[in-house]
Amino acid sequence: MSRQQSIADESAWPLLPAERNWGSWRLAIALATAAAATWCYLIGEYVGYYLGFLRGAAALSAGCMIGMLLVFLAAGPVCARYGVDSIASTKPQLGTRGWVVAAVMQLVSIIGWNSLLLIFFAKSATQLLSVLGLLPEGISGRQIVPGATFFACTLIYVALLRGATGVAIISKILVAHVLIGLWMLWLLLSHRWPELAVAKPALARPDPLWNYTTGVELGISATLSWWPYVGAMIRMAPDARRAVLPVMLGMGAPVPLLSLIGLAGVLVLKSSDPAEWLRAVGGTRYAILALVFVGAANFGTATAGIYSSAIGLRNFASMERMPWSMLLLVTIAPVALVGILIPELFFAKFGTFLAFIGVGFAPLCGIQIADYFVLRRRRVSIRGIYTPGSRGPYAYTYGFNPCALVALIVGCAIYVVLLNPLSFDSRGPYEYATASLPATLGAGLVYLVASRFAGRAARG
Amino acid sequence: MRRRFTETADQDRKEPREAQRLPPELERRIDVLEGDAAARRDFDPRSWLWLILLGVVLPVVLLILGWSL
Repeated sequence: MSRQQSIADESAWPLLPAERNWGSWRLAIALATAAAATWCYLIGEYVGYYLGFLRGAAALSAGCMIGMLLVFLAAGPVCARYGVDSIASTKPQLGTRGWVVAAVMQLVSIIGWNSLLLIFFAKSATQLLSVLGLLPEGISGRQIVPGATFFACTLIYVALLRGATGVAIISKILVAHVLIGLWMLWLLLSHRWPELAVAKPALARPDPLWNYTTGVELGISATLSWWPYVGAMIRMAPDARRAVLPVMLGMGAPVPLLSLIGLAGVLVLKSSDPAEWLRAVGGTRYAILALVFVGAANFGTATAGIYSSAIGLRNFASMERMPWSMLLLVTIAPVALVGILIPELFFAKFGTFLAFIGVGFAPLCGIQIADYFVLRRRRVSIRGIYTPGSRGPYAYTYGFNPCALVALIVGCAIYVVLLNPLSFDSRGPYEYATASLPATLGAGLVYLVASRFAGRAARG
Repeated sequence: MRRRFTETADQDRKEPREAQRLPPELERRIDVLEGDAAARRDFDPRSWLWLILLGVVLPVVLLILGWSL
């Protein structure tokens, strides 16, 4: 790998046009591989608690496409124009030090998601050994999972030593799992359609509108949490225009499609995990295929996630010059530790973690969209993004933009008031507007008003 | 102080470069991008059409269809 290519793949510096060599197909494949993972089953499972199959499929698909649009409009323009990652794209709004808020959100989100994926990967590998009769007697799955997690982390580390090129190679190989996922969905639909058509969701509330809106909300919030991935991937595309269809179709469409596996599974077989129900539907051979699928899906997504996280960490001055191999270690270590030391505890608390992660990204998207399209009228200084300290145009107050921070807090408050992410207790107008959309809109409006007010006050 | 909140790219270029102390390679990259016409564009009309179709029209149609089932 040349030095130029190495900088392109492994730094958070803006990429030059010649280095952004991912065409539409390559980008779409990388995004599809990043998006399609075990979390799709979980997303589908949660929708299946409130909605039947067809209505759930419509609500989830609509929500995912809306969420994808918000994420793309928020981070997409700056990332694609200048070849920067999602974290760098927040500096015009949050400030030369305030971007740390977004970096922490990204880091926590990616560590959480990838810990989940790698634990799933390890569990699938353990189940596969069991199905194949290769699990030694006297050794339980609980003992195998930490070792399998460590093994997966090692594989990802080796793959990512090649930077984004490693992500692209993994994507090319593992994108086949999306097709296998669609085959599994067809299998379930063809075998169980009569049951599926009349299946009743287990936790549906009396108000059908509330159930429907919750399906949409789950789709939106799930895709919002991919904000970090979008920036890290589309910076490799030549321009924003060529990233539109790969993002909307490559990342937005496979998620609801694969989530239907979880949705259908939980409705008719009371399990969203195909590794569990495929054995019942098609016997051991199908189970093996499903386990390989689950492993491949999670491995591909975790690779993209760790890469995105490492690029995000490059924005910290202390990590800007760190060797790529060391930075990868720093990025993977928390994921490995969670997977090795506390996999069961993390699983038990994952819902709580996930709920709070989703709350933060909706307001952030609202602020970014308002800032780029309305406040700055699509003019962003690439020099300002990389000018450190208090001299740059995005220095604001001690490196923090109070307007953005206030808007972020207001947006989070709007979300939590409309929908308690832990109990799912809601208040009007949630049934008509979801929680993510008002949080996005509210944060954006507060940001605009506060920025305008601050400007006028300053002028006297 | 207004510039702190709503700075624009044109104003940004007036910042004294020597005071910003960027690494030479980063400085070179920024210079290239500032002079790159492609970096000044984001979405063209066709992009907006796809974004509106896939991100607004399609969800609305899906929501109407789903609710009518």
